[in-house]
Amino acid sequence: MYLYLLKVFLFFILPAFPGYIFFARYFNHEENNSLKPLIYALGISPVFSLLVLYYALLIFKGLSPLVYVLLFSLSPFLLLIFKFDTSRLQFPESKYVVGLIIFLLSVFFYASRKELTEHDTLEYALQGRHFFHHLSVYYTSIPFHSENGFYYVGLHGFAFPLIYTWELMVNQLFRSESILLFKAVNSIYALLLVVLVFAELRKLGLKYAIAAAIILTLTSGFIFNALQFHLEMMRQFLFLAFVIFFIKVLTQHSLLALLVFAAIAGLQSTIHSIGAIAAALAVAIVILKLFITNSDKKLFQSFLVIVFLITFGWIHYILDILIGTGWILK
Amino acid sequence: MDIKVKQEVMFKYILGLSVVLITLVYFIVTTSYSGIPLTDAENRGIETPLKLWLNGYLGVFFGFKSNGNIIWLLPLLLLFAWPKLKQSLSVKLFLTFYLLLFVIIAVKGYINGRYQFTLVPISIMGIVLLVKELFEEKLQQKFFYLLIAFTLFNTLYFTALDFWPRYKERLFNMVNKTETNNTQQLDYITFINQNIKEEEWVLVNNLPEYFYYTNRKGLFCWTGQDVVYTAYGEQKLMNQKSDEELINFLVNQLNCQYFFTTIQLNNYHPEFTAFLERRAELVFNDHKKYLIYKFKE
Repeated sequence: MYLYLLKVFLFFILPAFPGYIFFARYFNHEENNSLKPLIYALGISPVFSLLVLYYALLIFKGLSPLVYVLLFSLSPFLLLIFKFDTSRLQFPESKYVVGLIIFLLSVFFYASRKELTEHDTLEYALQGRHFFHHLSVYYTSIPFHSENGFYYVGLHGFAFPLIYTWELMVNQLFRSESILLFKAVNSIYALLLVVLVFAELRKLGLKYAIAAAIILTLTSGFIFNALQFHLEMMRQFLFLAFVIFFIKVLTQHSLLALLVFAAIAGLQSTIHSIGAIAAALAVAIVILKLFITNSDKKLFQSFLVIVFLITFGWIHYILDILIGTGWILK
Repeated sequence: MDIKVKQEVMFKYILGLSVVLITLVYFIVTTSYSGIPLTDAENRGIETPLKLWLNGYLGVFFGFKSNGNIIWLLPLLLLFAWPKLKQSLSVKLFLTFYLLLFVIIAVKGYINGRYQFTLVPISIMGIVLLVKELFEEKLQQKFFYLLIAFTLFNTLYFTALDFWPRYKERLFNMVNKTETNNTQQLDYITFINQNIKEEEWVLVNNLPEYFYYTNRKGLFCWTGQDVVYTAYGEQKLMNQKSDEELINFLVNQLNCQYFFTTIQLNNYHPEFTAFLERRAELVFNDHKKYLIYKFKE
């Protein structure tokens, strides 16, 4: 259990520290609400770290697993190069922290009693194991694993397989074979998804937030997906966060909002093709809005949005089309 | 008409329509619902044209089993709120995004309930916001209780539908169960480790667990699409080959001596299953899920 908690710390909590400072500042400490930045930080920061791991394995192949693990957990601290006003920053309320710990322990007991059996998840795990054995991410038109004959038919970004790769790297450092974090990620994101819905509607009134959170939690598809070991809840969380930032950009224009939106659009593309398609669609609509409203520096801003989208995740699909499986064009 | 009375009428109209429409959809999607699907289409609830539309193309709104029975209210509430919302460019742009994504999911992802669920959380938020926009406090509260009750009923309903056939089978088939317990109960990993030599390759029917749990070599295939994945890329599996040509292809060209599949997956390609009956011997059957065949040269 200690290793599981350490992995949760390295995967979620440590990258979330700078993420929390960033989002608290971004939301301008609105309503003295620490829940919203906490949720965004916990949900988005690990995906940013996975992106850094992806680039590291793509460019600097074959380094020591320790280097990759350190890069993963510490890279979000790059955000702190921006000088944030931390004078009004408050530590997340203790009830949230206690609630999170109780939930994490419940997930531990659930995940440790169930085998990994889901078809897609096993494929992601095999791809993650393949990356770990080669200590590299690479593209090929025929994703055939010569070591065992497996053929990776997945067409999505590598974020989820890379969680498995990362966990094997941590395991190598601690001489363990546990994959509890890989199994637990989905349920942890299920909680984050419900709390995200709650946190976003709370400012309108508690009853709206509670109603939406209860309806979502009672929906059979949510219950079914939350109890699987899959990427689904991670995808749903990032997708919803991206849509919320998309709405923010449509309703209130600022360069920072535009860039944060494009970055989150890119990050959620790293998880699934649907996210990539949705991100491209949303970016096209945002650019359309810049032109309809005849915004200042619209060309420059459009260029920046596209660069951010690609850098933060869409790069995978471009590389896959050019030197990989061909993605949706095949 | 007084605005309060107007809202009351709207509320009753929506309630009445909900009861009728939800009952109708339940009737359609649960017709011939066995709980134990035999084909891929049955498994996905799209085996008839009407079900294909409800659970497939329009699944975001009417795929009740996975997405709940209230998402269809979103376009209806939007229609009522449209006079207020139509002035906003942001709303129009967002709805364009939602609509385009819905169409993409309907066309390309209709087969997968998970893809349809993509729009569910944001749709639930949208419904709550529209209820806030359209109704006064007291009716809002009533509306939320109803939405929660509908959603809860829906989840319980489909859970019961899924569990009842399995429970019934257990309850009334005690004799069969005992017989099953007396037969081979080895799990597939033990069987493979004990009976298949390390140099022997297995043709694996879309079951990544083979590669994950056994450390043995194999070739991935998917009989549902008649395709095998090799070091040279995708190739057709049967492609109208004769038995002799197919055996030669599998054993001599692909170097596979065994075929690993499940009882359910065997239903997806009846011709290949018929070929197995003629040219392979069933060497493992756990009577729950997994089957292993050895090809006969």
